[in-house]
Amino acid sequence: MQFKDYYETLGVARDAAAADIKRSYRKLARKFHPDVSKEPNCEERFKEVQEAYEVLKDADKREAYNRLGRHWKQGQDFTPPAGDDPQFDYRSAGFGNEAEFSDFFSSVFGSRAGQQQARGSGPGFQMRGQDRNLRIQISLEDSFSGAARTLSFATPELDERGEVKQARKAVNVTIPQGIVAGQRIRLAGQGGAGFNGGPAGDLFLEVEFDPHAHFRAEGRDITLELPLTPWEAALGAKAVVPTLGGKVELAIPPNSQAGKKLRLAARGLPGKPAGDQYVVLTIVVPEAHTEEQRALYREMERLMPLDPRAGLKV
Amino acid sequence: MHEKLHAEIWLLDEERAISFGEFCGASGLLESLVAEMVNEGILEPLGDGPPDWRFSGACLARAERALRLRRELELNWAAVSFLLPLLDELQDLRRRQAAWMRLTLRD
Repeated sequence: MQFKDYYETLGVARDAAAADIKRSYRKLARKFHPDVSKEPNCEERFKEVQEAYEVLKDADKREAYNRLGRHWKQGQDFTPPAGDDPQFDYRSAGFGNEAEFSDFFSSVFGSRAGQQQARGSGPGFQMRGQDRNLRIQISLEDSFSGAARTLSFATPELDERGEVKQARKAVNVTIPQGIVAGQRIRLAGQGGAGFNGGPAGDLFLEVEFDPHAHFRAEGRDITLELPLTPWEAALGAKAVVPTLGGKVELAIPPNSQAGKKLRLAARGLPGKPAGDQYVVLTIVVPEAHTEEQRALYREMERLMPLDPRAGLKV
Repeated sequence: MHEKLHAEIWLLDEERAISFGEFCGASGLLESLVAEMVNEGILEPLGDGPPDWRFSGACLARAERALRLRRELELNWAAVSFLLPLLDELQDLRRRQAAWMRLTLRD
Protein backbone atom coordinates (compact mmCIF):
# COMPACT_ATOMS: atom_id res chain seq x y z
CA MET A 1 0.00 0.00 0.00
CA GLN A 2 1.26 3.46 -0.80
CA PHE A 3 1.78 6.22 1.68
CA LYS A 4 -0.33 9.31 1.09
CA ASP A 5 1.15 12.70 1.82
CA TYR A 6 -1.99 14.61 2.73
CA TYR A 7 -0.09 17.85 3.19
CA GLU A 8 1.28 17.59 -0.33
CA THR A 9 -2.18 16.76 -1.70
CA LEU A 10 -3.62 19.93 -0.19
CA GLY A 11 -0.49 21.94 -1.00
CA VAL A 12 0.02 23.12 2.58
CA ALA A 13 2.95 23.03 4.99
CA ARG A 14 3.01 20.48 7.81
CA ASP A 15 2.53 23.25 10.33
CA ALA A 16 -0.26 24.95 8.36
CA ALA A 17 -3.02 26.58 10.40
CA ALA A 18 -6.52 25.08 10.27
CA ALA A 19 -7.71 28.15 8.35
CA ASP A 20 -5.06 27.60 5.64
CA ILE A 21 -6.08 23.97 5.29
CA LYS A 22 -9.70 24.96 4.88
CA ARG A 23 -8.85 27.67 2.36
CA SER A 24 -6.74 25.29 0.31
CA TYR A 25 -9.50 22.66 0.34
CA ARG A 26 -12.06 25.20 -0.88
CA LYS A 27 -9.79 26.20 -3.74
CA LEU A 28 -9.08 22.62 -4.76
CA ALA A 29 -12.76 21.66 -4.42
CA ARG A 30 -13.67 24.42 -6.86
CA LYS A 31 -10.98 23.14 -9.22
CA PHE A 32 -11.64 19.41 -9.03
CA HIS A 33 -15.23 18.90 -7.88
CA PRO A 34 -16.64 16.59 -10.57
CA ASP A 35 -19.86 18.61 -10.82
CA VAL A 36 -18.01 21.68 -12.08
CA SER A 37 -14.51 20.63 -13.05
CA LYS A 38 -13.26 20.30 -16.60
CA GLU A 39 -9.94 18.82 -15.49
CA PRO A 40 -9.10 15.33 -16.69
CA ASN A 41 -9.28 12.76 -13.85
CA CYS A 42 -11.11 15.29 -11.71
CA GLU A 43 -13.08 12.59 -9.88
CA GLU A 44 -9.93 10.83 -8.81
CA ARG A 45 -8.21 14.08 -7.87
CA PHE A 46 -11.20 15.28 -5.87
CA LYS A 47 -11.34 12.00 -3.97
CA GLU A 48 -7.70 12.44 -2.97
CA VAL A 49 -8.29 16.02 -1.90
CA GLN A 50 -11.36 15.01 0.09
CA GLU A 51 -9.49 12.24 1.85
CA ALA A 52 -6.63 14.57 2.75
CA TYR A 53 -9.07 17.17 4.09
CA GLU A 54 -11.02 14.57 6.06
CA VAL A 55 -7.83 13.89 8.00
CA LEU A 56 -6.22 17.32 8.22
CA LYS A 57 -9.36 19.25 9.21
CA ASP A 58 -9.78 17.11 12.29
CA ALA A 59 -7.23 17.91 15.01
CA ASP A 60 -7.27 14.35 16.42
CA LYS A 61 -6.94 12.63 13.06
CA ARG A 62 -4.27 15.09 12.03
CA GLU A 63 -2.26 14.33 15.12
CA ALA A 64 -2.57 10.58 14.59
CA TYR A 65 -1.44 11.06 11.00
CA ASN A 66 1.50 13.21 12.12
CA ARG A 67 2.55 10.45 14.53
CA LEU A 68 3.33 8.23 11.53
CA GLY A 69 6.40 10.42 11.22
CA ARG A 70 7.65 12.94 8.75
CA HIS A 71 10.06 10.70 6.83
CA TRP A 72 7.33 9.16 4.66
CA LYS A 73 7.14 10.30 1.05
CA GLN A 74 4.09 10.42 -1.21
CA GLY A 75 3.65 7.04 -2.94
CA GLN A 76 6.25 5.26 -0.81
CA ASP A 77 5.45 1.66 0.12
CA PHE A 78 3.69 1.82 3.47
CA THR A 79 3.06 -0.85 6.09
CA PRO A 80 0.88 0.13 9.03
CA PRO A 81 2.51 -0.25 12.47
CA ALA A 82 1.99 -3.91 13.44
CA GLY A 83 -0.59 -4.84 16.07
CA ASP A 84 -1.86 -1.31 16.20
CA ASP A 85 -5.59 -1.01 16.09
CA PRO A 86 -6.78 1.71 13.84
CA GLN A 87 -6.91 4.79 15.96
CA PHE A 88 -10.15 6.12 14.63
CA ASP A 89 -13.42 4.79 13.45
CA TYR A 90 -14.60 6.25 10.25
CA ARG A 91 -18.31 6.74 10.50
CA SER A 92 -20.71 7.12 7.63
CA ALA A 93 -24.36 7.97 7.96
CA GLY A 94 -25.57 6.13 4.89
CA PHE A 95 -27.06 7.59 1.72
CA GLY A 96 -25.57 10.86 0.64
CA ASN A 97 -22.88 10.75 3.24
CA GLU A 98 -20.47 8.34 1.75
CA ALA A 99 -16.98 8.71 0.51
CA GLU A 100 -14.71 5.88 -0.45
CA PHE A 101 -11.26 6.43 0.88
CA SER A 102 -8.04 4.64 0.10
CA ASP A 103 -6.65 1.49 1.67
CA PHE A 104 -4.06 3.73 3.25
CA PHE A 105 -6.80 5.73 4.96
CA SER A 106 -8.50 2.55 6.21
CA SER A 107 -5.25 1.15 7.57
CA VAL A 108 -4.65 4.25 9.65
CA PHE A 109 -8.16 5.26 10.60
CA GLY A 110 -10.12 2.04 10.30
CA SER A 111 -12.87 1.20 7.89
CA ARG A 112 -16.56 1.44 8.35
CA ALA A 113 -16.93 -2.33 8.45
CA GLY A 114 -14.31 -2.58 11.17
CA GLN A 115 -16.12 0.04 13.13
CA GLN A 116 -19.43 -1.72 13.06
CA GLN A 117 -17.89 -4.95 14.27
CA ALA A 118 -15.80 -3.26 16.92
CA ARG A 119 -18.89 -1.72 18.37
CA GLY A 120 -20.20 -5.25 18.93
CA SER A 121 -23.61 -4.46 17.59
CA GLY A 122 -26.19 -7.07 18.48
CA PRO A 123 -26.62 -10.10 16.24
CA GLY A 124 -29.74 -8.60 14.73
CA PHE A 125 -27.98 -5.41 13.68
CA GLN A 126 -28.26 -5.02 9.93
CA MET A 127 -27.33 -2.27 7.59
CA ARG A 128 -28.19 -1.56 4.00
CA GLY A 129 -25.26 -1.52 1.58
CA GLN A 130 -23.99 1.58 -0.13
CA ASP A 131 -25.58 2.95 -3.25
CA ARG A 132 -23.11 3.33 -6.07
CA ASN A 133 -23.09 5.67 -9.02
CA LEU A 134 -21.47 4.93 -12.35
CA ARG A 135 -21.46 6.80 -15.59
CA ILE A 136 -22.20 4.85 -18.72
CA GLN A 137 -21.43 5.97 -22.28
CA ILE A 138 -23.80 4.69 -24.92
CA SER A 139 -24.34 5.53 -28.55
CA LEU A 140 -27.47 7.21 -29.88
CA GLU A 141 -28.14 3.98 -31.77
CA ASP A 142 -28.15 2.08 -28.44
CA SER A 143 -30.80 4.42 -27.13
CA PHE A 144 -32.81 4.21 -30.34
CA SER A 145 -32.93 0.42 -30.51
CA GLY A 146 -32.28 -0.53 -26.90
CA ALA A 147 -29.14 -2.53 -26.16
CA ALA A 148 -27.55 -4.95 -23.76
CA ARG A 149 -24.27 -4.13 -22.10
CA THR A 150 -22.05 -5.90 -19.65
CA LEU A 151 -20.56 -3.50 -17.14
CA SER A 152 -17.50 -4.45 -15.22
CA PHE A 153 -16.44 -2.44 -12.20
CA ALA A 154 -14.59 -2.69 -8.91
CA THR A 155 -16.74 -2.79 -5.81
CA PRO A 156 -15.76 -3.04 -2.15
CA GLU A 157 -16.89 -6.25 -0.51
CA LEU A 158 -16.34 -7.80 2.89
CA ASP A 159 -14.36 -10.99 3.03
CA GLU A 160 -14.85 -13.68 5.70
CA ARG A 161 -12.70 -11.76 8.17
CA GLY A 162 -14.84 -8.66 7.78
CA GLU A 163 -12.18 -6.76 5.87
CA VAL A 164 -12.97 -4.63 2.88
CA LYS A 165 -11.60 -5.98 -0.39
CA GLN A 166 -11.99 -4.67 -3.92
CA ALA A 167 -13.85 -7.26 -5.97
CA ARG A 168 -14.51 -7.20 -9.73
CA LYS A 169 -18.14 -7.48 -10.55
CA ALA A 170 -19.88 -7.77 -13.91
CA VAL A 171 -23.50 -6.85 -14.39
CA ASN A 172 -25.62 -7.26 -17.50
CA VAL A 173 -27.59 -4.12 -18.18
CA THR A 174 -30.44 -3.63 -20.57
CA ILE A 175 -30.39 -0.11 -21.98
CA PRO A 176 -34.04 0.88 -22.28
CA GLN A 177 -35.17 2.32 -25.60
CA GLY A 178 -35.38 6.09 -25.71
CA ILE A 179 -33.13 6.80 -22.74
CA VAL A 180 -31.64 10.29 -22.92
CA ALA A 181 -28.47 11.89 -21.66
CA GLY A 182 -28.59 12.67 -17.96
CA GLN A 183 -31.22 10.03 -17.22
CA ARG A 184 -30.44 7.41 -14.63
CA ILE A 185 -30.94 3.69 -14.65
CA ARG A 186 -31.35 2.02 -11.28
CA LEU A 187 -30.19 -1.53 -10.78
CA ALA A 188 -31.81 -2.59 -7.54
CA GLY A 189 -29.56 -4.54 -5.21
CA GLN A 190 -26.42 -4.17 -7.36
CA GLY A 191 -24.69 -1.61 -5.14
CA GLY A 192 -22.47 -2.34 -2.16
CA ALA A 193 -23.18 -5.48 -0.12
CA GLY A 194 -25.29 -5.06 3.00
CA PHE A 195 -23.85 -5.58 6.46
CA ASN A 196 -24.82 -8.60 8.51
CA GLY A 197 -27.49 -9.75 6.09
CA GLY A 198 -28.83 -6.27 5.41
CA PRO A 199 -30.04 -5.58 1.88
CA ALA A 200 -27.50 -4.55 -0.74
CA GLY A 201 -27.48 -0.97 -1.97
CA ASP A 202 -28.51 0.03 -5.45
CA LEU A 203 -26.40 0.78 -8.48
CA PHE A 204 -27.28 3.93 -10.39
CA LEU A 205 -26.07 4.42 -13.94
CA GLU A 206 -26.05 7.90 -15.39
CA VAL A 207 -26.27 7.85 -19.14
CA GLU A 208 -24.11 9.90 -21.46
CA PHE A 209 -24.06 9.76 -25.24
CA ASP A 210 -20.91 9.13 -27.22
CA PRO A 211 -20.28 11.93 -29.69
CA HIS A 212 -21.95 11.02 -32.98
CA ALA A 213 -20.53 11.73 -36.43
CA HIS A 214 -23.76 13.30 -37.75
CA PHE A 215 -26.39 13.58 -35.08
CA ARG A 216 -26.62 15.50 -31.88
CA ALA A 217 -29.33 14.98 -29.30
CA GLU A 218 -31.20 17.39 -27.09
CA GLY A 219 -33.54 15.37 -24.96
CA ARG A 220 -35.23 13.02 -27.41
CA ASP A 221 -34.86 15.41 -30.34
CA ILE A 222 -32.13 14.78 -32.88
CA THR A 223 -30.50 17.44 -35.03
CA LEU A 224 -28.69 16.79 -38.30
CA GLU A 225 -26.93 19.31 -40.51
CA LEU A 226 -27.70 18.75 -44.16
CA PRO A 227 -25.36 20.30 -46.76
CA LEU A 228 -27.00 21.39 -50.03
CA THR A 229 -25.76 22.88 -53.28
CA PRO A 230 -26.99 26.40 -54.11
CA TRP A 231 -29.14 25.01 -56.94
CA GLU A 232 -30.78 22.45 -54.66
CA ALA A 233 -31.52 25.20 -52.15
CA ALA A 234 -32.83 27.57 -54.81
CA LEU A 235 -34.79 25.17 -57.01
CA GLY A 236 -35.96 22.74 -54.36
CA ALA A 237 -34.87 19.12 -54.25
CA LYS A 238 -35.45 15.71 -52.81
CA ALA A 239 -32.62 14.73 -50.50
CA VAL A 240 -32.02 11.38 -48.86
CA VAL A 241 -31.20 11.98 -45.18
CA PRO A 242 -30.11 9.54 -42.51
CA THR A 243 -32.23 9.12 -39.39
CA LEU A 244 -31.62 6.78 -36.48
CA GLY A 245 -34.34 4.54 -37.92
CA GLY A 246 -32.92 4.48 -41.48
CA LYS A 247 -32.89 6.66 -44.58
CA VAL A 248 -35.83 8.89 -45.45
CA GLU A 249 -36.46 11.17 -48.40
CA LEU A 250 -36.90 14.80 -47.50
CA ALA A 251 -38.41 17.45 -49.78
CA ILE A 252 -36.41 20.68 -49.72
CA PRO A 253 -38.73 23.57 -50.58
CA PRO A 254 -37.51 26.00 -53.29
CA ASN A 255 -35.65 29.11 -52.09
CA SER A 256 -34.50 27.59 -48.82
CA GLN A 257 -31.82 29.57 -47.01
CA ALA A 258 -28.96 28.20 -44.95
CA GLY A 259 -30.01 27.71 -41.31
CA LYS A 260 -33.58 26.72 -42.25
CA LYS A 261 -34.85 24.01 -39.94
CA LEU A 262 -37.05 21.21 -41.29
CA ARG A 263 -38.79 18.79 -38.96
CA LEU A 264 -39.17 15.06 -39.42
CA ALA A 265 -41.89 14.31 -36.88
CA ALA A 266 -41.29 11.39 -34.49
CA ARG A 267 -37.99 10.43 -36.15
CA GLY A 268 -35.96 11.16 -33.00
CA LEU A 269 -35.47 8.90 -30.00
CA PRO A 270 -38.48 6.72 -29.16
CA GLY A 271 -40.69 7.55 -26.20
CA LYS A 272 -44.05 8.99 -25.25
CA PRO A 273 -43.97 11.27 -27.10
CA ALA A 274 -41.18 10.28 -29.45
CA GLY A 275 -38.61 12.95 -30.28
CA ASP A 276 -38.41 14.67 -33.66
CA GLN A 277 -35.51 14.91 -36.03
CA TYR A 278 -34.58 18.42 -37.09
CA VAL A 279 -32.69 18.92 -40.30
CA VAL A 280 -30.74 22.18 -40.42
CA LEU A 281 -29.76 23.23 -43.94
CA THR A 282 -26.29 24.43 -44.82
CA ILE A 283 -25.22 25.53 -48.28
CA VAL A 284 -21.91 24.55 -49.81
CA VAL A 285 -20.61 27.06 -52.31
CA PRO A 286 -19.03 25.60 -55.47
CA GLU A 287 -15.58 27.07 -56.09
CA ALA A 288 -14.88 28.95 -59.28
CA HIS A 289 -11.60 27.82 -60.82
CA THR A 290 -12.04 28.21 -64.58
CA GLU A 291 -12.92 31.30 -66.60
CA GLU A 292 -16.21 29.68 -67.59
CA GLN A 293 -17.11 29.12 -63.92
CA ARG A 294 -16.22 32.69 -62.96
CA ALA A 295 -18.33 33.95 -65.88
CA LEU A 296 -21.29 31.99 -64.56
CA TYR A 297 -21.02 33.65 -61.13
CA ARG A 298 -20.81 37.08 -62.81
CA GLU A 299 -23.90 36.18 -64.81
CA MET A 300 -25.69 35.31 -61.57
CA GLU A 301 -24.63 38.62 -60.09
CA ARG A 302 -26.15 40.41 -63.10
CA LEU A 303 -29.39 38.41 -63.07
CA MET A 304 -29.92 38.15 -59.31
CA PRO A 305 -28.42 41.22 -57.68
CA LEU A 306 -28.35 40.75 -53.90
CA ASP A 307 -27.10 42.69 -50.90
CA PRO A 308 -26.94 40.14 -48.05
CA ARG A 309 -25.40 42.80 -45.75
CA ALA A 310 -28.21 45.30 -46.15
CA GLY A 311 -29.29 44.70 -42.59
CA LEU A 312 -25.85 45.69 -41.25
CA LYS A 313 -26.31 49.27 -42.53
CA VAL A 314 -22.68 49.76 -43.55
CA MET B 1 -13.99 -12.96 -8.30
CA HIS B 2 -16.20 -12.55 -11.30
CA GLU B 3 -19.90 -13.01 -11.06
CA LYS B 4 -22.52 -12.42 -13.68
CA LEU B 5 -25.95 -11.29 -12.74
CA HIS B 6 -29.10 -10.30 -14.44
CA ALA B 7 -30.41 -7.25 -12.75
CA GLU B 8 -33.87 -5.91 -12.39
CA ILE B 9 -34.17 -2.48 -13.89
CA TRP B 10 -36.40 0.41 -13.58
CA LEU B 11 -35.96 3.71 -15.13
CA LEU B 12 -36.14 6.73 -12.90
CA ASP B 13 -38.22 9.20 -14.77
CA GLU B 14 -40.67 11.97 -14.17
CA GLU B 15 -43.70 9.80 -14.79
CA ARG B 16 -43.14 7.59 -11.79
CA ALA B 17 -44.28 9.20 -8.55
CA ILE B 18 -43.78 7.76 -5.07
CA SER B 19 -45.16 8.67 -1.64
CA PHE B 20 -43.26 10.28 1.23
CA GLY B 21 -42.87 6.91 2.98
CA GLU B 22 -41.73 5.16 -0.20
CA PHE B 23 -39.27 7.94 -0.88
CA CYS B 24 -37.73 7.62 2.59
CA GLY B 25 -37.54 3.85 2.14
CA ALA B 26 -35.92 4.07 -1.28
CA SER B 27 -33.38 6.68 -0.23
CA GLY B 28 -32.73 5.38 3.27
CA LEU B 29 -33.17 8.92 4.60
CA LEU B 30 -34.95 9.93 7.79
CA GLU B 31 -38.35 11.53 7.34
CA SER B 32 -37.16 14.63 9.17
CA LEU B 33 -34.28 15.11 6.74
CA VAL B 34 -36.50 14.67 3.69
CA ALA B 35 -39.01 17.15 5.13
CA GLU B 36 -36.16 19.59 5.75
CA MET B 37 -35.06 19.32 2.14
CA VAL B 38 -38.61 19.99 0.98
CA ASN B 39 -38.87 23.04 3.25
CA GLU B 40 -35.56 24.35 1.92
CA GLY B 41 -36.87 24.10 -1.64
CA ILE B 42 -34.42 21.38 -2.67
CA LEU B 43 -37.05 18.73 -3.29
CA GLU B 44 -40.33 19.77 -4.83
CA PRO B 45 -42.91 17.01 -4.46
CA LEU B 46 -46.42 17.46 -5.78
CA GLY B 47 -49.16 17.71 -3.14
CA ASP B 48 -49.78 20.01 -0.19
CA GLY B 49 -48.54 18.20 2.90
CA PRO B 50 -46.50 15.13 3.83
CA PRO B 51 -49.43 12.68 3.50
CA ASP B 52 -50.14 13.96 -0.04
CA TRP B 53 -46.57 14.38 -1.20
CA ARG B 54 -45.69 12.61 -4.45
CA PHE B 55 -42.00 12.46 -5.34
CA SER B 56 -40.75 11.92 -8.86
CA GLY B 57 -37.95 9.43 -9.54
CA ALA B 58 -35.72 12.40 -10.36
CA CYS B 59 -36.07 13.58 -6.72
CA LEU B 60 -34.02 10.58 -5.60
CA ALA B 61 -31.09 11.63 -7.73
CA ARG B 62 -31.54 15.23 -6.63
CA ALA B 63 -31.58 14.34 -2.94
CA GLU B 64 -28.46 12.25 -3.34
CA ARG B 65 -26.71 15.06 -5.18
CA ALA B 66 -27.82 17.73 -2.70
CA LEU B 67 -26.53 15.76 0.27
CA ARG B 68 -23.27 15.03 -1.50
CA LEU B 69 -22.70 18.68 -2.38
CA ARG B 70 -23.59 19.81 1.12
CA ARG B 71 -21.05 17.44 2.62
CA GLU B 72 -18.28 17.74 0.06
CA LEU B 73 -18.37 21.52 -0.24
CA GLU B 74 -19.48 22.21 3.35
CA LEU B 75 -22.52 24.18 2.17
CA ASN B 76 -25.70 25.10 3.98
CA TRP B 77 -29.12 24.34 2.51
CA ALA B 78 -29.54 27.86 1.15
CA ALA B 79 -26.35 27.50 -0.88
CA VAL B 80 -27.28 24.01 -2.07
CA SER B 81 -30.70 25.14 -3.22
CA PHE B 82 -29.10 28.09 -5.05
CA LEU B 83 -26.40 25.89 -6.58
CA LEU B 84 -28.45 22.97 -7.90
CA PRO B 85 -30.23 24.77 -10.74
CA LEU B 86 -26.99 26.52 -11.70
CA LEU B 87 -25.22 23.18 -11.98
CA ASP B 88 -28.03 21.83 -14.15
CA GLU B 89 -27.71 24.83 -16.40
CA LEU B 90 -23.93 24.54 -16.54
CA GLN B 91 -24.19 20.89 -17.51
CA ASP B 92 -26.75 21.66 -20.19
CA LEU B 93 -24.70 24.51 -21.64
CA ARG B 94 -21.53 22.44 -21.69
CA ARG B 95 -23.35 19.64 -23.45
CA ARG B 96 -24.67 22.03 -26.10
CA GLN B 97 -21.32 23.72 -26.47
CA ALA B 98 -19.57 20.39 -26.96
CA ALA B 99 -22.10 19.42 -29.62
CA TRP B 100 -21.60 22.69 -31.48
CA MET B 101 -17.83 22.46 -31.21
CA ARG B 102 -17.94 19.07 -32.85
CA LEU B 103 -20.06 20.40 -35.70
CA THR B 104 -17.89 23.44 -36.34
CA LEU B 105 -14.58 21.63 -36.01
CA ARG B 106 -15.63 19.12 -38.61
CA ASP B 107 -15.27 21.63 -41.43
